Amino acid sequence: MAETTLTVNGQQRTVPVDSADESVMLLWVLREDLGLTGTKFGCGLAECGACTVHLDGEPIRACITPISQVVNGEITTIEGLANEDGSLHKVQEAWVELGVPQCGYCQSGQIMEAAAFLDSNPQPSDDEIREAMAGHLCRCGTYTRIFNAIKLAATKA
Amino acid sequence: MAIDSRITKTSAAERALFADLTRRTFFKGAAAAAGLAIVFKNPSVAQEASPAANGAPSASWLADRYAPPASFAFLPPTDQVDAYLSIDENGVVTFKTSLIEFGQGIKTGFMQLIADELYTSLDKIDSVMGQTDLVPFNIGTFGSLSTQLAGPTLRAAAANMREWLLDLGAEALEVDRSAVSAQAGSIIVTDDPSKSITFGELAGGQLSARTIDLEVPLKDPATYEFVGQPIHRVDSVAKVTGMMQYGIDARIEGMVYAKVVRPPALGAELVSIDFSEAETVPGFVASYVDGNFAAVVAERVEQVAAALAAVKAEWTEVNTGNTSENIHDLLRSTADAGQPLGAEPVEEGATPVPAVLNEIVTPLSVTISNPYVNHAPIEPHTALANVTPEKVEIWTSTQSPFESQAGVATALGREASEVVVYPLAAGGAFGAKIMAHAEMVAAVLSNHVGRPVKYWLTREEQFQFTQFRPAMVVDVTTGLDADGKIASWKYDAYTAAYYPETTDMPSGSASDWGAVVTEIYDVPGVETMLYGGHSPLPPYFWRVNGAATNAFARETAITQLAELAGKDPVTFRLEMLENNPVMTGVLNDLVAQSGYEPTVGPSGKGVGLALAYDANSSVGQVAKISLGEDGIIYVDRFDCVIDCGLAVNPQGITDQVEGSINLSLSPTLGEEIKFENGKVLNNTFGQYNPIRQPQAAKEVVVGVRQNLGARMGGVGEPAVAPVIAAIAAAFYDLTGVWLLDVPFTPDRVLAALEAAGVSLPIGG
Repeated sequence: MAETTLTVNGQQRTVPVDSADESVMLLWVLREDLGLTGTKFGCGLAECGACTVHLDGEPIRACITPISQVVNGEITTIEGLANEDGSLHKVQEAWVELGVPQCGYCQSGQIMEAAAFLDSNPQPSDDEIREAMAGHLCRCGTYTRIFNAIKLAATKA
Repeated sequence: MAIDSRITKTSAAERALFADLTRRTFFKGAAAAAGLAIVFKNPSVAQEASPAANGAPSASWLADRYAPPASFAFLPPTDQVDAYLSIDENGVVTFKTSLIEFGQGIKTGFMQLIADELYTSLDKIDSVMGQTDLVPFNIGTFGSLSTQLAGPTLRAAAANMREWLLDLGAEALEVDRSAVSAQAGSIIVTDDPSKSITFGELAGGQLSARTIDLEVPLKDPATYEFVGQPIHRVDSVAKVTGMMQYGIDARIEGMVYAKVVRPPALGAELVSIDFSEAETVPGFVASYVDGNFAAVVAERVEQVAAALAAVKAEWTEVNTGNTSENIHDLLRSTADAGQPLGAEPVEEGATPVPAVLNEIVTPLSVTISNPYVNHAPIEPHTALANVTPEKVEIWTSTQSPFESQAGVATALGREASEVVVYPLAAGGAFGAKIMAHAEMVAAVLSNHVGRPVKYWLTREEQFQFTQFRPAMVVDVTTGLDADGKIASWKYDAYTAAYYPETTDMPSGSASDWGAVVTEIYDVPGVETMLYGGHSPLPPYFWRVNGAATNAFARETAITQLAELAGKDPVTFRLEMLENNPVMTGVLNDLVAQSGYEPTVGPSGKGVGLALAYDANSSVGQVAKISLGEDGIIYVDRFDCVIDCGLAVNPQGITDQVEGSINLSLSPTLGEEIKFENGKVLNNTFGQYNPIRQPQAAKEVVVGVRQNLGARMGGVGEPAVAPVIAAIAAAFYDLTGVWLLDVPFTPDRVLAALEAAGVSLPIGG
């Protein structure tokens, strides 16, 4: 039986699929094989951002990413975003402080995008924030608090 | 145990609430749409409200095969304290409700109400929400009803449990009943607090066996410790760490995955189907056909997708000629005789008294339209079913666990009591997760393959095979008398109601919400009619339903009348609000909060006002917009003031109102279901184009009025209602041009400006 080993949240994880099978998307391997259900399905077309994870620190859409593209990289999901001492990442912290989530379903993707964005642009302008987050949908309408939380996170060490 | 054997009788207070709410047709519409029978004082109304009882199909996609049972009646809540509350050895109080938390914050609000009434603390409150074998029956979570209806019930149950604890405490402490009081999770001797016993020691694990007595006094609102305090909802950490479990996250050992073979369009019939190639796909488990319902099951996600792709199915052509382009003409041409709204009921045989009309000196006609929109929750409808001979287990995200239970029981031909529904968190709902659908699919297929089956709709299925906020078109025919006051008000609303087209039974669409102008304003000579027309797509509840469309029509006409009368939009409204002190307060607060300086006619600043009344709450909004040269409307600031009576958790209300505004901006600015011949043409997020961060309100300011002694009004939806109207008024204030057809897309904006001879940039 085919097997593939991935590096997810700093751990080697083996899943029962052929790494060359282009129909096997990272999203479903994370969710259904590894039980990392914090990464969400929304559309399967990279149009909503709910499935955003990091590949070597860069945000990618797991729903359209075959595992063949990630076998040599380090994958970080929302479950692995917190600091090494277990404390929340500054973006997660800002989200909690402002009470951003309503239903919360889109927030894993929003947070992963925001964390990668602040890594690359620690002091963004308002328009840069809006543009960086434009790939993400939130149906509950928490956009205004998301924007404010990113501003708040940018002030944190 | 059947559902109804648990139900005893409705309390007087709840009866009064139900009577009040049913007058507003909340439940009538809800039950009709869900295919439920409903207990009304007037049996003829009940019959009218229940398509299932009359054998007509409901709007459910699966309904032709698995119609919800007519016997699933709306049952009044139990009055047994123990059905709602239990207490353990550690003094932890668990409240039980079939209502669901999907981010609207009701869990936090209920905790506040119970902690106060029981004189305990928030960390001593736990909850069971929705699990059908543990919670009392309730019809579902929608219509901004949770706090309005369940709030008073839980509060009364908590007050009665407190009285029981006081009785037990007096006995245990060997003092007179009048000598004890409740304090911080204990019963104490009032004059000697060193003598005390904790709730857990007194009552842990016992049943109170009490019936809710409405004579039991409630806590004096002036002494509330938790109610009225702004508290962030309790589940944020789980939601930012990926730990919160949603319906789609459910996994159990041995589960397999299903996909439904969908027709190309609504109404298509299955002609032939060939699974032979699908059967050769690795991991293939089973195929299934029953009428027009066909599906495949496989071991893994990618395998079931491959199996579905290998199915060869032939469907009949659908050629109705109905499209999103001609829908509003269709609504007029197929309109029924109409029903009057808001008029005093007339005794049978008596002649209705015609409205007294003053002579119109300055006439005004306004016609507005709104298209179909989809709920589009980011988490699609989903379920995991495990069907065994002993019982049926369903893990899902649903607004109505008992509707899920009834649907599954019917689909399987089993007793409802054999079906346990475990609702997990819902990733958005907005009306999309009331009807059983994914639950029935998963259950039928689990029963077929003898293994647990997980199913979720693809995004494309969610757009095509669910329900839609009905398209509407509204004519307001009004005008001013010689004194510059409104002379009369004729309101004709045409809504998509009859689906499928071949039946004449209305589906619930609640397009009447907010249609009657006198719910807010003093206006003479009012006639309000709601006409139902054929609906090519299944119409259904969508957050706030018709109230947003009706607020748009009403508020636009009133702002236009104000200008004709030579008055600004605030002054003109205040003159019609003399008998509505609550809305007067809202409007005055709103003007102060927003700094709105109303003018007669457009100011060029892009500021617009609108009011709405929904779910017993009054809302006022002021939008400040700007316009890009590409015709895109940007929302620079949005002010809202809400009066919902007793504001249990002002922070939760603020969050909910902020979300309501951004959600409502989306269909205002861009959402429209495009369809032809039963096929949705824009069935992806990219094509449907909900608003994203750049078009969301840049700043939202929410004022929550507090009245600790008042009843609790609804909060989930009212702030959705005025948004279209506020944006349209702001656009007029900016440009001098009225936008009358929703959504206000860049194309429509540019066309409207061009037709009016206005060039961009404004003021440039």
